[in-house]
Amino acid sequence: MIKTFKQKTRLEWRILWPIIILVLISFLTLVWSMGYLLANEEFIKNDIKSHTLEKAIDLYSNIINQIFIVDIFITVCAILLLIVLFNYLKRTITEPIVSLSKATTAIADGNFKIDIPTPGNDELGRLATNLREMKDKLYSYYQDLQKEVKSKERELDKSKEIERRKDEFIHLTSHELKTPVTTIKAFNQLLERYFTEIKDKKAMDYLVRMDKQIERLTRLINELLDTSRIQSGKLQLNEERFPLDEMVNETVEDMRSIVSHHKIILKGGTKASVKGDRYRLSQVLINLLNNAVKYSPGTDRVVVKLDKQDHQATISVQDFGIGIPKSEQKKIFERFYRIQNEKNPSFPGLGLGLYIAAEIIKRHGGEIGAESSGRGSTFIFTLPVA
Amino acid sequence: MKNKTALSETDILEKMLDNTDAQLAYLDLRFNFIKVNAAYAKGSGYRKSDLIGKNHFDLFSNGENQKIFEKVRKTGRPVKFRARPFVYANRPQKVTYWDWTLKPVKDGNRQLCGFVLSLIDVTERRELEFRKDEFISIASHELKTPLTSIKAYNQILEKIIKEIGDRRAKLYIERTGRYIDELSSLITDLLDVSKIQSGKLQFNLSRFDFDELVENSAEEAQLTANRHAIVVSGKIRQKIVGDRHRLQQVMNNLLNNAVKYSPGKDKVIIRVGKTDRFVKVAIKDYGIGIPKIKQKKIFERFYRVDTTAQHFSGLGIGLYISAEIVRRHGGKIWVVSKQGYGSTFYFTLPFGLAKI
Amino acid sequence: MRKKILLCDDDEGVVEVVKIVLAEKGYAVEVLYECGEIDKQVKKIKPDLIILDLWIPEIGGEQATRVLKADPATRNIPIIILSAHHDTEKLAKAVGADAFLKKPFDITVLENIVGKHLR
Repeated sequence: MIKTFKQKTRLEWRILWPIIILVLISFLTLVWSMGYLLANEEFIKNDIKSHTLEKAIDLYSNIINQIFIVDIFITVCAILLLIVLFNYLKRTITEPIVSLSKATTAIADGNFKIDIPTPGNDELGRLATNLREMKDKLYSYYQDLQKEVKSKERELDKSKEIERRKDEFIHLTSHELKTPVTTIKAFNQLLERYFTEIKDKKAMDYLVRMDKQIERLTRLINELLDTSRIQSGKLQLNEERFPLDEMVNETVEDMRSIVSHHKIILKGGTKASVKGDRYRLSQVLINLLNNAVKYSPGTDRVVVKLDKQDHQATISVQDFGIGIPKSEQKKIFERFYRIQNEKNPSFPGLGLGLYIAAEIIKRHGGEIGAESSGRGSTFIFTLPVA
Repeated sequence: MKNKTALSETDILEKMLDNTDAQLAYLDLRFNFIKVNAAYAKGSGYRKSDLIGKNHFDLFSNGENQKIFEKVRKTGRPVKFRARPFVYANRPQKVTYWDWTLKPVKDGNRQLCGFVLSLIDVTERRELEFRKDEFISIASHELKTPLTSIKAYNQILEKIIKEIGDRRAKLYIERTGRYIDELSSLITDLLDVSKIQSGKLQFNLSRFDFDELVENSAEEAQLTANRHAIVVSGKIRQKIVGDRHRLQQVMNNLLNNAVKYSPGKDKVIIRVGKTDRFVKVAIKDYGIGIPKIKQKKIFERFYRVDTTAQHFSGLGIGLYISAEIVRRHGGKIWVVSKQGYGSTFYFTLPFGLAKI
Repeated sequence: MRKKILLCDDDEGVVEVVKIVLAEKGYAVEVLYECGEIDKQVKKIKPDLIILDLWIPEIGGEQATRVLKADPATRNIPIIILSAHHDTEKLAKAVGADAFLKKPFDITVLENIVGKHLR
């Protein structure tokens, strides 16, 4: 008993002693009341002997009343005391508990700025101190993490900014390069007219060759410009309805006049029309034909097939050249990708043509891919039929 | 009354953690996972719940990294790596590249209590960046090829026309030649940029008369500046050591810019001076000027002082290249400018070069 | 009387060659390098045709076209827009240009378009 007594915590003492006081008061009141009664018993006994019954009852009831009044007085005092004690308990126990409870709710909600009061040096006080320490730790951990995330975000932003400027550079480059090219081409044509006038065949020959090179340069610059437009999401496509075989025939014809060592064979056909940018789709076909010729030196033909199935038109370009290893067949449509081939160390080109072609086909709602089985490669793209 | 729709700080933090590409993990002192974000879980191929409590090196064993982690634990100092290769055990042929940092976390008593690990997968970005950088030099080469033919044909035609002697044709061929040269120099600039990027810009040093260089540059600029007078003031009467061709490139660039960015004005002033160790050159124009916030950036790659409504031809790389050339010579380059009043570009060059 | 063409482009090379080409065809060519007050200039010069580069200083070809087409005094003068890329054709048509020429252009095409719009 004595042991457990000593082990009673401070908190328990806080709750305990008001109760002890109340019990003590009740006990004392009782004792006093009884004592008063007992003390007056003799007196009453004597009085009853010398007085009438009535008077005796009066006397007795007086005493009871006195006790009653005093008891009420004490009760009132006790109630008042109870109120005071209640406030005391509230202040020292329930309020701290409530505020700690509020604090933990706030922390759980992520509010780390809440103030935690320390209500004294008992267990509650210790609880409050611990909670505050925990909160501080948690807060600093969150802050660290937050800082980390922010700094990573900043790094990512910085490198995005550099990338953006690189892309902007590609755009500016292509635009700036076109200006002198425009002038060169125009003067070239003026010279062509002049030499036609004076009928100088040799000079005309040089000029024609020069013009071809100007065209080639223009094409390269256009690829740069197209790429930067795709990157910045500014590639605009026209929409018109046109017969597919008309576009294919025209493009193949144009290419036939430029391509010297390969025969371009056209197979199949369709009466279907498509809705899209005729110029751009022709560009795709030109690019595939150029590649087919470029990557099949030493062979003599390239085959173009035009087909329609259900609501899809399919165009394929087949060459019989160096082919494409399976691991590269998807990569070739990526920007800047160029074939790295030990046997044929460098093919001219920027590595942008297929990237642009893929974007154009995708924007038209079609698909494009390459396969390579046996000798050479076949590039196929599809377009939804109008 | 608690506002249930407003996000608390914890909510916001959680959202940040799970919506960033950066892979973040909090480890305890034994390198067990305490908390990971969504990106980390995804990148590792495990679920969040499968990672918490597990040891980092039980799941991703790597002796070298473990040593690094242990060193951080021992020294309490963070480590940071850029584009560090990492090979997954189950995919040995594919090398991936990561930017990663490991930072120690201390508690209220300044005791080490854990680590924050952050990773960013830069494999694709690195590859793309390499290809892009390579691209600039590929593009320059690719563009030069047809240009070389064009120039050759042009020169043949020049000879033919000279013999014929027709005035019109002479004009045409001369102009063609000029713009071929302009195109050629644009493409050369591109190539220079890629050389600078890959650290391959080399200099041919010689001892030469600086005043002569300034005179030549002024004359050349004057040829194409129709409305501006290029005025030279000051002489240093001294020789300097440097790459004459490249320094001429710097002068040309600054002079061309001065003319270009002061349309309608009538002069550009070159002032040459010296201290006992340096030559100092100032090129002043009275043109549009450069806003203060842009003044630092104009020497950076790809930067142009431009608004979309105004169009000045020329790539934003001239200044970048000039800055690189000046710096490599051991000099400094800077600008003083007031918007609407004009700009003065300054650069210094040491007389003797310690190393270049 | 010779037809007058107003050319607004800030690139000297292009300006020179277009001048030569059109002069050989018998047109009078006036050049504006700064096109900020193009509407005022057009009212002063009274050209029969305007050739505009999309990227001109201060105002931009797009805005210049809008301004000119909005003003009843200049609305009926045909405008040909020059641009470095064929993608901007849509834009040119949208702001009311009468024709669009892609750079680098064929000088015969230039002559034809100019001829067509001056008839």
